[in-house]
Amino acid sequence: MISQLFAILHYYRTFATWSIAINILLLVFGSLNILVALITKLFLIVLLWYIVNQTEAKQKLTFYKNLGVSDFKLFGIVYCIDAIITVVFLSLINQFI
Amino acid sequence: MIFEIDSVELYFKEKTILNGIYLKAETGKTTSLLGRNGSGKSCVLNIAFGTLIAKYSHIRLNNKPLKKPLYQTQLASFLPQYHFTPNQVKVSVLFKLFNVKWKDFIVEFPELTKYKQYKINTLSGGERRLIEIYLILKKNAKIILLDEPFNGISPLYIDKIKLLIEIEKKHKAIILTDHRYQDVIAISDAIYLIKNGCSKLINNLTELEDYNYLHQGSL
Repeated sequence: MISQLFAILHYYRTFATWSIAINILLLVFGSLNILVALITKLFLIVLLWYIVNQTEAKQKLTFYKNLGVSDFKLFGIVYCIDAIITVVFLSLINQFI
Repeated sequence: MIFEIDSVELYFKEKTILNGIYLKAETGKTTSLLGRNGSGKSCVLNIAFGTLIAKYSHIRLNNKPLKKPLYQTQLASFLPQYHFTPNQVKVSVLFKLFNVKWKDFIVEFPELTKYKQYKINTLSGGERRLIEIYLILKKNAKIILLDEPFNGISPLYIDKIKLLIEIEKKHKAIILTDHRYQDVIAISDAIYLIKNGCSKLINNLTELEDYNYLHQGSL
């Protein structure tokens, strides 16, 4: 279980920079609403899952399957991690604005 | 552990790829799949592991039907044809994630000791493949699926991998496919030939010639 979580965290790491960039974009466009941010992130994670499944990037999912991690579990946990970071990020920004 | 897959039907659009596959593997035995390019060997392994969904397939473990993908049981590990490890991950991290001992690895392959802290994508294709094969073979799993494990590997390492397979099969069921038929035959306890979408258990090696998988006199 720990190795699964560690592997998922590694997968998230490749998207972390993009996620922060999207958070900043949301700020730039004046959306500090956490619900809007979470729905946006949900849409993006579904889009990511679709793109990965339609391209050769799908092959990399075999690594996670070898650790017993299904696609749903992988993208679900990635979304949860991202949602927590997004909520913390936006909450902190809200304190200063 | 007895693994069986049967009634496999796979179609890509209108094309029939597999339409009558039965394969049985069990602990203590190496079961091999032979067949021409495009015969569907890799598809069988992918369907068995759960990374490819067939129109129909039926998998049994110890005579009990399996109702979820095999990988979700964590009873199996699968070496695909391509590099499956993520780039940028250190070799030492991969060994930890797969719960495989680095010390045992460098006893077998001392020349790779220096790579412990290297990122996996900085190794040569063959070295990376070798590490991937080792991780899959040594992982704590009951069923090992190997898709072309000898591809891109130098002859000396092939001999070592064959030896590793012989050791690991004592407590694992191993299913492999490769075009190096002489190496495959040397380590196999059971051989299936896939032809015209169907699998045939080979009882006598000359059948490989009779079914036109090998030229007459190849054996």
